[in-house]
Amino acid sequence: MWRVDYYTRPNGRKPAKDWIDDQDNSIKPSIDARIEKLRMEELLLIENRMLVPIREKRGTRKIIPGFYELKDRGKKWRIATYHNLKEDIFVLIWGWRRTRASPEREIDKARGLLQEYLSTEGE
Amino acid sequence: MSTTPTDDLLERLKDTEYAKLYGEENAKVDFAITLTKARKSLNLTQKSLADKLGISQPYVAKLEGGEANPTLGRIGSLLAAIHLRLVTGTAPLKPEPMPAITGFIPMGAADAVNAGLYLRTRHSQEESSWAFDFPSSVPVNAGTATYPTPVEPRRYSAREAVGGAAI
Repeated sequence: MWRVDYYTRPNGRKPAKDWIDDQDNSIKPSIDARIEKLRMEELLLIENRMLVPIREKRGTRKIIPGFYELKDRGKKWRIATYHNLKEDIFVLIWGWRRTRASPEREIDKARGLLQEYLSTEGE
Repeated sequence: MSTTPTDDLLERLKDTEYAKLYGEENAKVDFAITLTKARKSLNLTQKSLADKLGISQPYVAKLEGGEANPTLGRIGSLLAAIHLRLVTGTAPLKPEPMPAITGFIPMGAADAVNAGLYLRTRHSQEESSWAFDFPSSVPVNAGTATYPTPVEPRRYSAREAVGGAAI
């Protein structure tokens, strides 16, 4: 079993929580179910591809260690989450709906928030 | 007061209509994980499992991704094709609280700089000790499991998945 929590920015906001709270019940139960499974059985989510690594940037194969997309392909949502090994916790960083247009800007935003998190965590 | 995702879920589950929606999604994800466990225990790829089941690989991917919503009969029929049957149980809907001792950490995890490698290492340790689930009672938070059909002899004894030293 793992700890899962929201990233809290220096200004006190929790971007992932704010995004989840904004979603309606067509996808929120799916989000809750997968977050709960992440808390309970995260390794199996990697096998199911419900949890996939996020790359350093578009077009590269190099991944950011510990940085994952928790997702539901059918309901087309993604949540960026970082596995903080030192604190032994999964931190929910940012969420977005995947549309036909490239979500790269959303992933860029997630990468930016991760950098902010890592700098404030002193890693 | 600071809330965690679990706190937020507990609050949402007070709404019965929301709980029903959550229960549906939870069941699909539970079965997805159960099917993946069964496939990996048989050392099958999604493609080879699809061939055995007479369905497409993309549909296997959907089943394992928790995106599909097959009927119970369909699930039984699919599993029978690989000499398994579904065994269901119930568990409390509310999330389990974190225990005092939290999970297992393999030795040397503090030195791991690549969390992906760390997770894969844990997974391979867990994979080597897990065969089939044969709970003597319904485990908490377990949704579904698979068992060999009577024609298939039992090959494995009950085991718990262990990832390393307990902290």
